[in-house]
Amino acid sequence: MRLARSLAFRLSLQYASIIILSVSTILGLHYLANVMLPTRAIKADLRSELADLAQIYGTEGIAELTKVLDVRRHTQAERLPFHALTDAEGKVVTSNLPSWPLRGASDWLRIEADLHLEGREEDREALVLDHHLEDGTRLLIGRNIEDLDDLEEEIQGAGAVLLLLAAALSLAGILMGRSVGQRIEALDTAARQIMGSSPSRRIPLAGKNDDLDRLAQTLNQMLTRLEAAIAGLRRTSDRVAHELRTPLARLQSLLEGALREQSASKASLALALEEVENLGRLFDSVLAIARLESEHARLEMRSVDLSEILAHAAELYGGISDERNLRFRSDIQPDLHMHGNADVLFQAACNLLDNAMKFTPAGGAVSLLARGRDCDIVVEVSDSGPGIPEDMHELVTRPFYRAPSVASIPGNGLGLAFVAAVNGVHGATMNFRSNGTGLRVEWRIPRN
Amino acid sequence: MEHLSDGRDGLISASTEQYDAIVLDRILPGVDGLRILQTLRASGDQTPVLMLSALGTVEDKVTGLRAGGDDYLTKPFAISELIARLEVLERRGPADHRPLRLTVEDLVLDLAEHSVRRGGALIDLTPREFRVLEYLMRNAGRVVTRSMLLERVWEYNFDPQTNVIDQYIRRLRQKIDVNDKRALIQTVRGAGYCIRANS
Repeated sequence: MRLARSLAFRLSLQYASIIILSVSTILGLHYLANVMLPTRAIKADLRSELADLAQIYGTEGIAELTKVLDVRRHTQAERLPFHALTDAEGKVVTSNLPSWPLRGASDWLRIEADLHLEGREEDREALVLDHHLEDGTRLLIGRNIEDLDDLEEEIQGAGAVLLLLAAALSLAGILMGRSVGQRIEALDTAARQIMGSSPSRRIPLAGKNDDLDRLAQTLNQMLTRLEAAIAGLRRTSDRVAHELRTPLARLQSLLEGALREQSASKASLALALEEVENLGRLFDSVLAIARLESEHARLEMRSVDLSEILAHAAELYGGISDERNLRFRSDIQPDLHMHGNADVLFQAACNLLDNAMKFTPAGGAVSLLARGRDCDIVVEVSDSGPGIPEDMHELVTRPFYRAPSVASIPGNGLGLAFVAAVNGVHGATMNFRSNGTGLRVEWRIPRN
Repeated sequence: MEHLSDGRDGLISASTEQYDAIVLDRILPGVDGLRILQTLRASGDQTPVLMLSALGTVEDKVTGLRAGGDDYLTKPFAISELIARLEVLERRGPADHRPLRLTVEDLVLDLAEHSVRRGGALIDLTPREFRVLEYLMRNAGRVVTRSMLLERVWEYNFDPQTNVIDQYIRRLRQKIDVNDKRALIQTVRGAGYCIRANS
């Protein structure tokens, strides 16, 4: 049965049983100590009293017994004494009980003996020992046990309330179990559908903003992120496949050409080799980005001197600026220490410089600036190239994206994607500013 | 030259015979390449070992080199790259016997003075240009590939874009070949660079 397996139902049943068990234990002990044991003591007293009285009757007769009972009645005692004595014909000899039943099977009776005095009523309950003496004379003696009787009633009342409470709890458990069960089932159904054929479906919320709704929200957010990641992966793998197609086609035609010729020309084989090397490099770049994106935790991060890293990159690219007849200026504030990975930061700096020098026409200027600003290090790479139109600022960091205007300049469209992946690891950001006279990349890296 | 395709045979041959250099694949049937290397080094065998592997991450390289490898090459690679690296490995002398002064024709690199002269005239180099030249001159007559330069001279593990290393070397060459002197650093097509005396 589904209900019995429901967690909420089982929990409420367990709670109800624990409550019943503990309260009944307390009530039972209470009853034992304050009702049963005192009653037993009173009964023992009454029995010994009766034995004494029966002996008096046997040796000294009814008149003496009546006298003794009278004395007993007026003796101060913790528990008010009761008695009734009837002779063999059933006539009442002496009594302070209002009434008593005919002789029954049991020796013990409970008789209500309320006292009416000047309009006031005093509740009394007599525990009575019923005894027949030899000749048909009947002797009943008792004691007031009103307090014990009240206590007993209280305990019984508490017991009844407890039972009701337990019943209510179980009922609540059943209802809760059913409602929680229905919602979990809805979650389960939705999850199964998403798993099956409609990954863009989301788990419906009950609108109660409770923990189950929050769970559903978290699951929905997770699904959205997963979907985005899968879409990104698909886009990248589509692009990789596409990017591979072109060099593979070139390689194929080169090799076919070499095969057709009587003897393969060295030049075409060298070209083919170059294509293979380019393909390998493309794979390495894609892998490097994928690793940065998926293996954050495995990247070794330590305290590094970004000033030194940037200076090394600037020194490496000095050769290219000479070659391309560019004015290159680097102004790096010393001792910019930060927490990061030197290898990927160096590569990212190289990529930014590479872009600046690649896209700036001969005779232009490129500059590298680095300053510490509060908790960040701000690196600016500026050039006097064509810049990037504002609507492409976001696109250029995507793997393989290349602005249409730079299609003629060699490149694989992975440079800025790599920088973006490095930024993801270091919590850094990158902004582009195009102001007509080139591009300024503002690279802001937190120190730790 | 001997070729063995099983880890166990490789380990036996390597530990019983004397080779100039060993090219060791990391993943082998029988005994794993890394284990062979560790066993050799543990027995005091200092034969130069070049590790080959399809595992190309920085950590993989570090593991290979820490196990006692002298060089690490990731697949796929050009045969010229493998040959260049093996030549450098084979002729590498012990570190403490390295000369303090390297000479190729009239080019003199003084490690103690940290200076470079061509025909007696002092040449001003950046610290890294100095290291590039030192590496080339130490291996004078042998081909040094771009990736070897990257690994030995730059402390970063990175993948240079386009032809930045070529242009870096070109600038170094311009500094060295002043006053119409003969070009000492030669480009070896499809392989790398070589500095050699004209004899």
